[in-house]
Amino acid sequence: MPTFLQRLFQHRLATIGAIVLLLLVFAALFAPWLAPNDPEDVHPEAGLRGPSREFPLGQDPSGRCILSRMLYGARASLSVGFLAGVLSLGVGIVMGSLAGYFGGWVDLLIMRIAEIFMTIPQFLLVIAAVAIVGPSFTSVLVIIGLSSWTGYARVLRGEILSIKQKPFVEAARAYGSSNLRILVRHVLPNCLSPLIVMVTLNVANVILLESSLSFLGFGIQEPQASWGSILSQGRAYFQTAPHVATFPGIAIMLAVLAFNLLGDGLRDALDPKLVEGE
Amino acid sequence: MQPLLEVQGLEVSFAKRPVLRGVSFTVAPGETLGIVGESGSGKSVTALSIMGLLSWPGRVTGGRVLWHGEDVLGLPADARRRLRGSAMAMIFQEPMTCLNPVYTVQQQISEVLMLHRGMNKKEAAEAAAEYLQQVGIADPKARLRNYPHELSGGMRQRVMIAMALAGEPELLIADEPTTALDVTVQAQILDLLKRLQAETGMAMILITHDLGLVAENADRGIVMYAGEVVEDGKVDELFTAPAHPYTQGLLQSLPRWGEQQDMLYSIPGTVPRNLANITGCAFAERCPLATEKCSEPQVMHSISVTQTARCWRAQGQGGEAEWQRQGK
Repeated sequence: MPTFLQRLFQHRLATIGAIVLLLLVFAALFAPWLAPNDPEDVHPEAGLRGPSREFPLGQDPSGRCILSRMLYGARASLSVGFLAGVLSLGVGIVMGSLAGYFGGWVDLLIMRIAEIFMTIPQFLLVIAAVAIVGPSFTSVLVIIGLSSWTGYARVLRGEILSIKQKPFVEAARAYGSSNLRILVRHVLPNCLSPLIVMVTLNVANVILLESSLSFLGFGIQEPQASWGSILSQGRAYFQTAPHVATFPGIAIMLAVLAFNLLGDGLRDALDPKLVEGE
Repeated sequence: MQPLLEVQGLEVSFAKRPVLRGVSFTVAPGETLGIVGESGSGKSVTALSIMGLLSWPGRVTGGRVLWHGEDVLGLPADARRRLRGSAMAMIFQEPMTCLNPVYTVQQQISEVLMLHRGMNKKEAAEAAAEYLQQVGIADPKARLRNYPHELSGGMRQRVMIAMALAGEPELLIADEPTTALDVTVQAQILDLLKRLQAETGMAMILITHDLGLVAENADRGIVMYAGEVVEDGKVDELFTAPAHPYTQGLLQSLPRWGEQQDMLYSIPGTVPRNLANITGCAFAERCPLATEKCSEPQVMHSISVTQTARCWRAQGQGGEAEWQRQGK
C-alpha cells in the first residue's frame, strides 16, 4: 500500500505545486541573503529603469530594486497567508465542532452567525474592517483570519454529523469515554482530510486577498514591500515600464496556482474512498 | 444472593412512542442470560438503557436499573460514564465499523487500559498484547501495529472483545456479536466468550435473534416481544416446555435435523408497529390460540420456580409470578 506521501507525489501537478511552494518559502525565509539590494534603498534618478546587471528585475518608480522587494514581499504574502489560514482554521474547527457535535441551539446559533458572515462579500467585509481598525500587517492578518472561518465550520459540521453516527463512536461511549474525549480523539481525527485540502485552497485565497488589499492601499503599508503594492505602483506605468507590474503579478499567480495544484493533489491523496479500497 | 443486575419495569419511549413497556429481569454474577426476540422487540434498546447509551429521542420513562442493588438511572452522567467499560462493557454487531479507522489496535486497547486502569502508555502497550493473546489472536505483537482495515471481521470482533475485557467488567453485554460473521467464525467467537467467562467470572447478556445461540450458550433466557418480556426461564425449560405461544411459535419455526419438512413453520403476521394502544396481549393478533381473554392485560405467571410466562394459559400451572406478588 502506497503511503500518503507516495500517493501525493504520484500526482504530477501536485508535485510541481509543492516544489514551487518550497521555492517560494525558501525565497521568503532567506530574503536577506538572496536580495541583491536593500529593498528600501531609493534611487530617484533611476526610477522605472528596466532589468540590468545590478537590478535583475528592474527598478520601481522610486528606483528601488524590484527583485529585492519581491523577495521581502514574499515574506509578507506567505506569512499573512499561512497565519491567517491557521487562524481561520482554528476558529473554524472550534465553531464547527461545537455546532456539529453538540447540535441543538448551539448549532443553530453558530450556523446562523456563519451564514450572516457569508452573505457579506468577504472582500467588502475585510476592506470595511481594515478601514475601521487601520491597515497594518497584524490587522490584515487577524481580519482575514476571522472572516474566513465559515467554510471550515460548515464542512467540519457536516463531517462531524456523519462521523458521530458511526458505530466506533458509540463503542467509544460504551467503554466510558467522555464527550470531550470522543470529540477530540475519535471524531475530529476522522474529519481532518477535507479540512487539510481546504487549508491549502484557503491560503491561496488569503494571499490573493492580501495582494488585493495592498493593491488598493489597505494592506501592508509602505515602505514595507508586498506583491500587491508593487503591482499597484507599476499599474500607472504599465505602458512605458511593464516590468514593474509584470513580475509581482507573476509571483502572485505562481503562488496561488501552486497552492491550488497542491490542494487538488491532496484531495486525491486523502480521498477516503481510495484509501479504504486498498 | 443479590443479583448483579436487576431491571425492574423498565419503560423507554422514542419521542412519545413506547418501545419498552415494563421490562423486568435479573442477571446473577457469572451467569449468561440470553435475550431473544425479533427485530424491533426491544432487545437492543434494553441493552442501551442498561448501559446508559440511549440517545435522543430515546428516553427512559419508568422503571429502575439496579446494579449491585443501587439504581443507576438516577446517577449523575459522569458517575454513569465511569461505570461504562469498567463495571459493564458492551460489544456490538458491526465489528467492521466498531473500531476507529485512524488508530492502531494497540492504541485502541491502550485507551481503555489508560482510562479505567490508570496505566501509563508503556504498561498499557504491554498489557494490550496480553489481552490480544487472551482473545486468541496469533502473533499479538505484530497485530498490535495493525490498523482495523487490515484485519478480518472475526479478528476485529476479537479486538473489540479484548477492549471490553481490558476494563475488567463484571457484566459483558454482547449485542448480536456474531450476526455479521461467518458461521465458522461465529462458533469460534462464542467459544471464546464462554472461555473468557469461565476465566474471569463475568456475567454476560447475549442478545440475539438466533434461538440456537441461546440454547448452546446461555444459562437462562428471556423472550421479548413488542417491548415486553413474554417468557423467562432456564434454557432447558424454554426449549423443552415453552409456555408462551410466541416462544412455542419461535421453536416451531426452527429447522430440525432428520425431520422431513416440506415447509418451515413461520408465525403469521408481523410485529405491531405502534405499541401505544396495546392493552391486552401484544401477540394476540398473531396467536393461533387467541381468545377474548387475550384482550385483557396480561401478567407474568409462574410455571416453575424459575420459569414465568406472560399468558393467562400459564396461570393454572403455577399462579402469578413471585416478583409481581412482592411488587403489589
